Amino acid sequence: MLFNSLEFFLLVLITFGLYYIPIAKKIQVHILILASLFFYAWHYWELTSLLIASVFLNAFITDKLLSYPKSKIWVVFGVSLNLLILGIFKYAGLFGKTIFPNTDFANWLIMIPLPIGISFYTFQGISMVVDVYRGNTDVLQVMKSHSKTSVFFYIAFFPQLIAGPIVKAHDFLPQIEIKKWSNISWETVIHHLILGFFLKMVIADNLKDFTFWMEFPYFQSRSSITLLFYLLGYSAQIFADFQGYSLIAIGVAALFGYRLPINFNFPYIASSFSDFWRRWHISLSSFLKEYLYIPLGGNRKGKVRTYLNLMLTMILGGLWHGAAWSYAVWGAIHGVALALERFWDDWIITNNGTAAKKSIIRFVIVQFVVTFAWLTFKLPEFSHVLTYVKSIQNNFFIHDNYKDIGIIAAYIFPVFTYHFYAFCKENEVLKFPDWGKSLIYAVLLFLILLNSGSAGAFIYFQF
Amino acid sequence: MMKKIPLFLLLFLIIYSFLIQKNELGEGVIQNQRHGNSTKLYELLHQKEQLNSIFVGSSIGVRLPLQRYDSTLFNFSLGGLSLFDGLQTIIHHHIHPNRIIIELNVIERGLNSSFQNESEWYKKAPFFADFNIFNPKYQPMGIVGNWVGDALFGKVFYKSKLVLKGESKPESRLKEQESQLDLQKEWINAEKPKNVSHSDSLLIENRVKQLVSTLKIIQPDQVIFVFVPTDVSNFKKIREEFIKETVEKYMASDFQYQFYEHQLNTTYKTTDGVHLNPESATSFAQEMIEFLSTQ
Repeated sequence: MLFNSLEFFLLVLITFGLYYIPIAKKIQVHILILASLFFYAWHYWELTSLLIASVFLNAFITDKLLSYPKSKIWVVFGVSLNLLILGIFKYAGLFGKTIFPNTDFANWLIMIPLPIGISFYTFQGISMVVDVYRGNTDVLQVMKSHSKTSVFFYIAFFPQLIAGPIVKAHDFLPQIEIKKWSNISWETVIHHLILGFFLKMVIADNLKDFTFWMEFPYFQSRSSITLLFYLLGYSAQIFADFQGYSLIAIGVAALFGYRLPINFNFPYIASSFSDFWRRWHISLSSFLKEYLYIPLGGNRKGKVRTYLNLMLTMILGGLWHGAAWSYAVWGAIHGVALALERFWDDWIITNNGTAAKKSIIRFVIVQFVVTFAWLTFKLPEFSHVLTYVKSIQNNFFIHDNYKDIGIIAAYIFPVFTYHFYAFCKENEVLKFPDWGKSLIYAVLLFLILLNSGSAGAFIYFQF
Repeated sequence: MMKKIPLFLLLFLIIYSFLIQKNELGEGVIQNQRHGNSTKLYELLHQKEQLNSIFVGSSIGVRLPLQRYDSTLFNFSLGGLSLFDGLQTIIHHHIHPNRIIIELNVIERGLNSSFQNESEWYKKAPFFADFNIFNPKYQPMGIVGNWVGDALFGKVFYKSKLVLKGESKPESRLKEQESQLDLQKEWINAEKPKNVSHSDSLLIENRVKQLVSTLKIIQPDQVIFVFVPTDVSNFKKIREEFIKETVEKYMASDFQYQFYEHQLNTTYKTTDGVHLNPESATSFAQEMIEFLSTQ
């Protein structure tokens, strides 16, 4: 069910109505679980059984961990089972294509359906199992009182079920309590919903009709400047699409009294690669840091090991995005960039005694690499990525389509302004009066009403 | 803060609507096929002049500048959609042209539900017709894009490129043509079947039957069928002949119809093997208008 659809609006409206009826206050969580199942089953009801199986599996393992605290066997079993489910449904096709190319077995593996949101809910399952194993007191308190319902609710809560933000058990479970209508922060809800729908419906949905031409072989006949604008457009589109989804999710969750973590913090003003990953898909990067990078040893086992850990974490993080080697290449590009950056900073500290300062050159390099790396997202064949870069180099004298360039620039501009606003805010250059905020929200609503593109699925749904 | 948002929004809508109605801001860019189709739909439904003829077809027909030569002819070709979408809209909105010109190039395509829903929406809300603000052509970002594209990039990039090009301009033109020719060659050289397959022939037959029953509802005085030229290939001729025979078989005596046969000795050029380039589209449109004027 798409967030920008009538059926979603009706689902939220009905759930919201039932949720705050005084006599239903003791079954608020159950109402949200039912709404979540309905939301998930809307398009592929058959695959809802996998979600339910995943929930019961994690509930069973957390029960065992509550009975046998600090049991390594149960935590390894729980994490492995979650990864196995992810492996079978998401990566079996890639495994088949790579190990047994052009065989019936590979074709059979490719035909295994990919349940929507599986990457998100299995990661939340892992978070739950690990947090209980670690004995997080907040989590344990909730689990002991009503474990199965809590597990179900935590994994299946519909605003973040299919595209995040990935919520950690120790952040979410302590929030479970009876919610009151009077506690809704309407300003938070309005801010997140208007901005989210604007980014998704006006920016991402319109840009997708231009970035469509980045597909092979169409891009070959476009001019260099047009190709560069397509790339910038895609960069803005992927941000607007995912940030839009995350903001809507946060806004809808806030309607029901739940606080989801922010997923983006203006990534395109990042002044270093590590800064970029503190700002882009924050819930994933902090998950990977907490549950993969640190358990691998983080930066505690020497410099070389730190670089390797960074690389491995980023390659696996890349593969998490999709079952294609191009995603691993995307992760590897970021892994190499992070390792080189760490190496450079270490070298500066050794020689100068202080850390590297923020610089415009570094900012430009970071944004250049980040933007070009998106090509591996858009073009799953790596040879096509290289052809695209060659076309940018060779097609300079082909006639430019100025209309396309102009309209792409018009759609990129709000994303640029949004980041510029953040930059000013971080440096305390700009403060908006209340009426200024109202004016901006009114402009965004105006554009949602008059300029929405055709509805397209969220890019991150495929992950 | 929240109380001010609806007030500001209302104010923006009124001011923008006023400016658009007065045509103070100019028109927006047609951003893509979907946007182009919506704009055409809006313009067909709010056409002030009496329409004598309507041309229905696909993106192949979109390129033909027919209205430039005959203002009573409306080119209702829809990119990515089919002739059936055009005909269904005519039925839905009770439009009665005397003559319907039908592009048969992609007769296999059927109706598109989302376009039909959009058409339905306009039917349910007829009062929108009087307000330009609902015309997709006047979307704010499209208008801004038009300004930016023409004023900024059109002038700055174009001029700087001219300086950079210097003597190499003819060479660059050649490079552009070569890249288009490569695409054409790729398409022409692609392996094609020698006959219309059984499944294709069944589909075409069904579509022709559907076409005849649709035309029976519209009841035009005259129907003209046309194949817009694309790159020459043997298979294309075989397929066109098959479609023509099927149409003749099922149309029988129900309507006054004929095929517009374009001059075979004329060489038309396409941008991608399928869609005519602007020059060829213009000359084909002129020839067709001449033919129609004799009917």
